[in-house]
Amino acid sequence: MTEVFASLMGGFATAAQPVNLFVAFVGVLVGTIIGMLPGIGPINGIAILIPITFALGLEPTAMLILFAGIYYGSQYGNSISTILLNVPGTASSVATALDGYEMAKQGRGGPALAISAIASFVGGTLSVIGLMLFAPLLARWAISFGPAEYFVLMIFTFTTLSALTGRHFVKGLVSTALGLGVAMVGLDVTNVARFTFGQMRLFDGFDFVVVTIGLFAVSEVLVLVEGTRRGEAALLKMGRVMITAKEFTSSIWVMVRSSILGFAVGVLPGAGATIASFMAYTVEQRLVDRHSTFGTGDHRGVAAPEAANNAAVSGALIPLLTLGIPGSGTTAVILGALLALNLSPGPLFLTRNPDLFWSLVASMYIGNVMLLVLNLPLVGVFVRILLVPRWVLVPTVVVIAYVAVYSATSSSFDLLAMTAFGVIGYFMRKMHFPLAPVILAVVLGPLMEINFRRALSLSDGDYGIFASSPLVLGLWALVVVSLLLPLVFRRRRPAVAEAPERPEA
Amino acid sequence: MTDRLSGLVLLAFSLWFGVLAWNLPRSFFSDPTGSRAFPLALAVLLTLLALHLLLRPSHTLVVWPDRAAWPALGITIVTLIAYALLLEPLGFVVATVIVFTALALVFRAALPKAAVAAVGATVALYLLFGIVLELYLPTGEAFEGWFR
Repeated sequence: MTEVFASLMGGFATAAQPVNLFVAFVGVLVGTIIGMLPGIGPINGIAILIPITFALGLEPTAMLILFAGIYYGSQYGNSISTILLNVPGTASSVATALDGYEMAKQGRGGPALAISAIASFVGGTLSVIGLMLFAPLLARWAISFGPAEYFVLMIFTFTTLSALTGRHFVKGLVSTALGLGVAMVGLDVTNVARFTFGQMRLFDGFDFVVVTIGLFAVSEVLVLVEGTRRGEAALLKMGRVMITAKEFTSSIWVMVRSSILGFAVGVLPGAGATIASFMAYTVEQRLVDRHSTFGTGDHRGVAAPEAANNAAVSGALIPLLTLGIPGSGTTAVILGALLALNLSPGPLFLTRNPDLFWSLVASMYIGNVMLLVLNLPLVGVFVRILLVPRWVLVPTVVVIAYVAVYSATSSSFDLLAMTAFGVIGYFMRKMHFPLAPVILAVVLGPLMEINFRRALSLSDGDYGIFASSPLVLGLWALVVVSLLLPLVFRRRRPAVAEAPERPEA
Repeated sequence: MTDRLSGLVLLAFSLWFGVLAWNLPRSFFSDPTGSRAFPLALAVLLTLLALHLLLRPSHTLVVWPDRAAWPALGITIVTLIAYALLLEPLGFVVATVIVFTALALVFRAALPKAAVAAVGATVALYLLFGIVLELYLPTGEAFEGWFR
């Protein structure tokens, strides 16, 4: 325990350096704005910033602090548009709308925003404690993972994410398969050119940033264009951004329980913030909703999902950092950025880069305080941004996305590819093919094949290596469980399916 | 119905992908898997998934854009392609003003307002990207002569 404390103090020393404080602030601020605005979301925010941070030559520590700040900051911002406009930026805020928008309709938008900011703070802060304590433990355990274990673990990640996002398991699997196909374009580990059609510029394959911004941001532009014919949503009056002491005390245990639940769910691959928020809402509804006020503007119905979806973010960082396996689209993009910097997250990541890990943890404590301080008094200012008309906002997003990619690659071809992925993404969204599995597969695909080939090299081509250890067999059992999940969830998840076009971040 | 359609498209795609994969080099002694196994396995998986969509489609209701939205979508896609192609020859400033205005018009802004906003946003983004962040922004091949 003293060891943890000493490391954490070291982390605070690094995180308190002016550069790192500044990027943490920029991260949570940009995250809040990005989470609030339609059409951007954390996954695009991070994807767009990757080429920019590379061009700026930012330190890996500062970069990770920045991306994490955007990631959890966006959950705060998301709740603003959810509560006041009933427009959840990502699926993880849909549960918040159930009571948050009801409260806003009754003129209690301010209290709803306040409780959501406080719940987010509680979820964010409690879960960082979990990150701090459990990440080193998992890393120690994961050292025994060989290539065969990694290969099966990746299959497990793909099947759970496919099972849990979107409405149809088969479509999730199709998305995963398409992502794996995209990942195969280019030279493989033995320098064989695959699916390049003799084009030199395809030899490096498609950059995951190009695929991500195309699939998510460009497709969102098209969705918004389609929506122009439907008129803009009206902003509701907020009232004072405060809650009473009674409201606070009645929801404190809701927040604590939901934080723990959200953190635990966030650690699981594929589940993440969306499932966490819905589970927290359902659990609290059973536990505290004695007068059936959930769904009619109960502040506890806002506290539960908001604490859970923020806690899930720290949870999701655990498999990312200790196994190198992201469980969602956004963490996949962060993994891609770390890999591009030659930092490969995995069991040895924490022991090799203790400074990086502990400053990230410390920065998350600081960042959550910043968010609370920013959100309670300044929410009125943020809300103004929601009033920026679509015809200014959307072209601005387009320009930023295209210029960010161009500045990194100086390639018109990449911009064309990005546009093509955008059109494909639009049609996939229309037909309910989830997009997050595509990105996960694009980033993990090459690693999966490398581990597969390495395992077979070790065993001289004997496929028995994929069933040789108890650990591998246990992981296969998890794969089977994840394949059965859709059968259980099919009847029980009508609510999540309400927002088919909201991307999973 | 749309599931059957997407199943059909995916089936065609996976067969094509499979043919390409089949023609990749075979494995050799030191590398038992080879470059071909993974793509071939993927082609098989995708074919099975496509057949599932084709033969057992789900009853999802797909809300397609109404008739008025299709031209707007088409114009947007053309504008985005134009941006990708024009950024180098026209440079950041000119290309961005044109594309910003066009997209603002798609979102039903009045032309004068759209043009003013486009110029303002272009200048602001030029300052942010070009000056503050010092990113590389194309000056435009068409104007290179002017600056020499």
